[in-house]
Amino acid sequence: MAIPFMHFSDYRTQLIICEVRNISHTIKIRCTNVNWFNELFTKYTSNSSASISVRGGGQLARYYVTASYIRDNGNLYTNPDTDYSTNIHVSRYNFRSNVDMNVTKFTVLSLEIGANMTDAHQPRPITSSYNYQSQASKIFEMCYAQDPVTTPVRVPIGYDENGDVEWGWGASLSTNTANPAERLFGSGYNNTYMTQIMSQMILKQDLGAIAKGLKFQASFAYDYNATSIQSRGKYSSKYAINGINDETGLYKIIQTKVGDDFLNYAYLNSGNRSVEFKTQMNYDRVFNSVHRVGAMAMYYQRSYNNLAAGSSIYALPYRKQGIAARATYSYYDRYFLEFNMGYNGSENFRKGHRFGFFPAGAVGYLISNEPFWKNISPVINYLKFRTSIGLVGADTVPSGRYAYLSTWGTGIGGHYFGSTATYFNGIGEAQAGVSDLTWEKGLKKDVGVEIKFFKSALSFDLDYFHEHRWDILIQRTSVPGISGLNQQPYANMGVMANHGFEGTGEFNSHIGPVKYKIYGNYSFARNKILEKDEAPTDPWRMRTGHPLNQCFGLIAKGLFEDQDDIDLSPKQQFGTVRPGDVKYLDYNGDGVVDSHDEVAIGYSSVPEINYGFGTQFNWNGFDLGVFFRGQAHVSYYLGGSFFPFAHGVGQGNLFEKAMDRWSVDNQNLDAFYPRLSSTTSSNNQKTSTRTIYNGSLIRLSDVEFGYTFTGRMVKSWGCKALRAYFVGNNLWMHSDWKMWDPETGSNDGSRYPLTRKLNIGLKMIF
Amino acid sequence: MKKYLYIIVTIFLAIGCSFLDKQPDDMKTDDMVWSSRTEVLKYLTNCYAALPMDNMQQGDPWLGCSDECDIPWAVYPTYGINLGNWEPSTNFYVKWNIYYKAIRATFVLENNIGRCSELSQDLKDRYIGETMFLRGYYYFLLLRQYGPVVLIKSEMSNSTDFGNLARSPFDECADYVVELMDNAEKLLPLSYESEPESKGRATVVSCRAVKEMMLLLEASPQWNGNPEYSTFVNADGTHLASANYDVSKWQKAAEAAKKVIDLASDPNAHLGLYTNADMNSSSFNPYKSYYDLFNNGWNDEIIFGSIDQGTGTWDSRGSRYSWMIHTIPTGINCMGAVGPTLRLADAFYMENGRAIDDPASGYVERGFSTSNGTHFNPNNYDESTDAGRKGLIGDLKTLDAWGHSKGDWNMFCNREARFYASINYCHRIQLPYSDDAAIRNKYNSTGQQDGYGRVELYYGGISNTGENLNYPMTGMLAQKRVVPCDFYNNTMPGKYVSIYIRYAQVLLDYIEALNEYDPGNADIKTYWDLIRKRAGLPSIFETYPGIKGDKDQQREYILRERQVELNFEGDRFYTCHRRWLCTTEDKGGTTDDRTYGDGGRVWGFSVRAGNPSANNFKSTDFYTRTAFETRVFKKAYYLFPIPQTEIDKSPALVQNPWW
Repeated sequence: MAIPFMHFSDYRTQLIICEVRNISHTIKIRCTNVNWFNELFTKYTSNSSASISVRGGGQLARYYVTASYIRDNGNLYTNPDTDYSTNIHVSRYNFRSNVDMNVTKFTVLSLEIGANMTDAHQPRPITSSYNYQSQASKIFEMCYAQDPVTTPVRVPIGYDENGDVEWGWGASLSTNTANPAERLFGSGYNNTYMTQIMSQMILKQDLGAIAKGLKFQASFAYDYNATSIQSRGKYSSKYAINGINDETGLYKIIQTKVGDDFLNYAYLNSGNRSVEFKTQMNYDRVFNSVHRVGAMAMYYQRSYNNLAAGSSIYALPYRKQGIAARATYSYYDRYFLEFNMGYNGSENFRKGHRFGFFPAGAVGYLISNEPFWKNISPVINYLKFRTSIGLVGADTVPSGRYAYLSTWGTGIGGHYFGSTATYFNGIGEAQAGVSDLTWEKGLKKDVGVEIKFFKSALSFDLDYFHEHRWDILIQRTSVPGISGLNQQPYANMGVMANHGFEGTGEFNSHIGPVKYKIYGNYSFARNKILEKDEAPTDPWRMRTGHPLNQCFGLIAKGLFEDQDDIDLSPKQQFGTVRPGDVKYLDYNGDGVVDSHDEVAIGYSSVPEINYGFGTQFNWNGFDLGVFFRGQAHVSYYLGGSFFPFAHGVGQGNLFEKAMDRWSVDNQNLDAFYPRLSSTTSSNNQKTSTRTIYNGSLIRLSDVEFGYTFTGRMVKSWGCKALRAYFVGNNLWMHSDWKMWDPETGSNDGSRYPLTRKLNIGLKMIF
Repeated sequence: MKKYLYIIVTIFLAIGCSFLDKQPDDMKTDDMVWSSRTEVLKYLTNCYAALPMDNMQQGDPWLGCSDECDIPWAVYPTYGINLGNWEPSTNFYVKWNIYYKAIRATFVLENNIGRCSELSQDLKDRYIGETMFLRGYYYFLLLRQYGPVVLIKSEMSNSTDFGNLARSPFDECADYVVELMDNAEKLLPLSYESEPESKGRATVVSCRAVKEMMLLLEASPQWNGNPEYSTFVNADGTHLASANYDVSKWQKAAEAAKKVIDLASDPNAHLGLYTNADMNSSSFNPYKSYYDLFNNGWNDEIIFGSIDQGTGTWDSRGSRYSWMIHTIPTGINCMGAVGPTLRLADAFYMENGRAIDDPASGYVERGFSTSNGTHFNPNNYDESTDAGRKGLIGDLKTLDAWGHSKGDWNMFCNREARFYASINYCHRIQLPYSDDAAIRNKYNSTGQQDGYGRVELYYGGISNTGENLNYPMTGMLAQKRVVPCDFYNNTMPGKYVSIYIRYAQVLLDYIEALNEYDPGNADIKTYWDLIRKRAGLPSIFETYPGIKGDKDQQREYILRERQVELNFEGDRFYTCHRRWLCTTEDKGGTTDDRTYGDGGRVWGFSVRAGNPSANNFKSTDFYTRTAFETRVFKKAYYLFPIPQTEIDKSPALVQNPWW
């Protein structure tokens, strides 16, 4: 790895060049040209992991113990001037111990305990937030947003006693832009300690003495999670160059930010625990080798506590309770019948509306087990048809809890009164309780077939499903503002339909000594909103009737050629329109283009199609695996800094694509960007077919190539096997959208993308 | 094995049915709220919480979209609005929902306060008076911004079909506001002088003032027989604006304003113009009086306002701190760029009371002054010594010294006191810095450092480097509401009030209304003189005796007085181009020859003139009048659009004209 921080020295060179040129000071400052990504991110990093597991025992007891360790490092530079790292380091330790004891001949008591500990160290560019996952992506966003010219990484602020130049963090002369390098190297760090304990005690009782095949099982599970973040953050001083002193020829430096000398300290603890209790009777018996009968009845209850709840209502345990039962029957393992039911209670509804009954049934026919199939089985060795229908429920209220209760909150807010400006708190109604809320319901139907050819060398598993959901718990949206309600009430009002197809396939074979496998999966799902309490409006603008998250916008018809073109076109009601601006279709034909002309465009922002396929080869210790995956039928909105000057002129970055724009000098009606403006242009930034993008993509997501040594030499080291491997992730991608990885779903590419990873590793198995 | 079965059955029974009954037992309930004195007070506070705190420099439309000011930052909404990028789905200063929330809250309080046995009947009455006032005030704000509203006069159940409630005619809405103010007044005190912790609550005076403002709006050309609103109707054909001009509406407005003025003679009302000393005494200082009116917490001139926390951290210093960040010249900690237009700067009178285009005024447009103004160095400090300069800076910061200094551009010389209290111009000595010469010199370029900290607004100056957008496009900055303090060290003592209504505005409302139906009324002179006297000016009728009794000419000067007196307070936005539908045609001249109108060319100094590395205080190109932008103003802008989302939800709600 290269010595970090060498890259800072570049800055001296660049600044000196500017001095030599001796041009006016306003241009001198612009001599910086920073590639923030190169300043902050390294290309290489190392990770390691190890694990051990032991299994053993005898008649009376059996045990299984495993432990593992993983260390991942991020790819940020670290600052040699501080005694702490500014890179990301995550160490994870896992332990698990399972013990089964035979208490009596028919009673087994099991105790399963697992624990894992994670120690994470990260920089903390956002001092106001503890959220440790977001810190690295914030660094990325800052690099993405900071332009290369206004802010130098470092500036010379004077000389120390040895006569060496002292460097301070650079700043822009305008007030509020961040220096990403300062935010990484000068901001301190967070240490996060996470502990997770999962334990379960299970009592299994064979009740064969009462009835053959009858078993009882009771379990008690206790999970505990705790996270403690210790945060040492600060802001470092920043300096801006404000011209050159004409007499001395030295930079005039102003300190724009007085930093902290020491790291501040703050901490945040959070945790939760859950307790689950379950009892269950199982019955499974085959009569006369023909009738396979199964039955199950279960009671469960679960209680979850947020140990660091922000308010008393969230501190109350979250509780669920229910009974479930199942009965199965099969005849000759050819005909299958199954019946399920659930009777579940939710705390979110008022007594009397609290429990929902959810039955389901399924039938299957394994035709290949029929005696007459014998002749066909060399070709089709397995064929099963199945179909099911069932009612499911959901009790999740869009936000909050106890939707049947009216609650009080801070209302519109507080106010200052008095000659001393005393703040008075406010209260007001928050949630308007709806007493008859109840379960959301869905009727699911499924038809499927499993088929295997040539002794299972080729197999398919295909399903078609349809679901109709109603009484969906939504927050109403059609209540007008003049009602004066602080919060729109909840209601069982939504209706949706969803249908689709899923399938997997696999082919296993060999060419000589080379074994190979080809496999793939595909799913298509399309939903439709049938009711969502939408305010009635133009039929073509209604979200109802379209998939959830369907994109809506105007239909763009290119750019305006000139003033005549504007005058002759329907009047666009989004501010002043000039040549080079986007021209839209007057969809409803009323002579004006306004929000009434919006229609469904593109697809939903959730992909309708997901697929993957790959292949694996094995030969003489060599193995090669390749896997592609992709998504299709998906559209994402553009916005944010996709539009040049979104944060104002002189701030943020432009895409190179901005060169391809309409201007008086380049009156190209096919330009990528319309006429640009130094502020938000409500005409050109309207959501339209020009401001969504096709998120379809196919990605070479995994390539793994390895060789396993099992020879004598390896054994002499005490290893069972030694494997050397290369793993590559995200090596290639194709999509129509070239500006950033569409899978981020980002409207301007500022989201941390999937990284390309190349790993070379050695794995020893003892 | 039987015992196991028993155990199972027992477990099932024991866990039973109450597991899900857990619900928040300490949760506030309706009964708890309405039986507790402190909770009822909190509910009342919640009714006040929708009052719009001043955010003039960024979120509010009042300055950035009116002809008195330019706000250059493209990220603030007014920038795009001035380009014409405004439609019903633009989320620009949407107050529709929050005011209706507050209106509903006032009904809830009135319907439930009777349940609180902890409150005395007197206090219950006062609280009801406050909510009635607030309801009326919110309706007034809605009417001014959106025009006729859906009039909700009681607490309506959640199941009401709100989407089918239609708007009521403007006059009917205004009647309701008047009725509320008349009723509220009976339940409220004259002032909270004896109960200072309640300052900021409604009083008799604030009720009468809102009533007067409501009636004045109703009498104004926008709503009094405006022919352009003749097709402004509900779906059923109900006319929402009055069809015929009714001059008696002016009389009603004037009489209502007089009812406020009458209270000024009642010592318990604590009402009157703010001055530093008796206006007839020798220590009376018009500059200090007008400047401090905004900067020292409550005073008798403030009829209704919200106090704002003055000290604390960056985030909690409130709206005044933010205003100062945006108005103190760019340098350390600040980004001053809120720029008064030349139209506003030109409207101020000379200290002798004359308008600058009056040949007798003594106004000089170009050149640098060769001497200090008469009030500039009252204690005759020796400006050639450090101690003398320090003493003078002290006087400037206490506001005892004011006016132009030697070397200021002549345009800024010998103007009226309100000019210096409102406008910050190039070369002026800055108030909100410490008196440390070394710190003050940081604000000046090499060679221009005289220990005073004079603002450099020309191209290349410290506060207009060309490196960023933080400089005024007009070449001037707002001075009003900038507190003299040591902003460099982040100290800003005191508490500040966002003033919604002050007495001077009521006086101006009164003479404006009187003039429309009785231009010869003697009260016009009486109360106009009061305003001018506080500003240190002679009576307008002494300066321009020819206008006396001439309705049209008096109106011009009344509107000008208002433009000057209420500058940067958000009044011009409504008064000029909306309430009075005033706009003058642009004849394409090389200076701003227009008096009224928010659209069209906007004028300032040449902030990009000359060579930035050579410019200095002696550069004269900077002072060339320049039109730096052309604003869009459409007829639709007379009213804000009702948010598109609300139109979509409400079949009975008609959109405002031309939107």
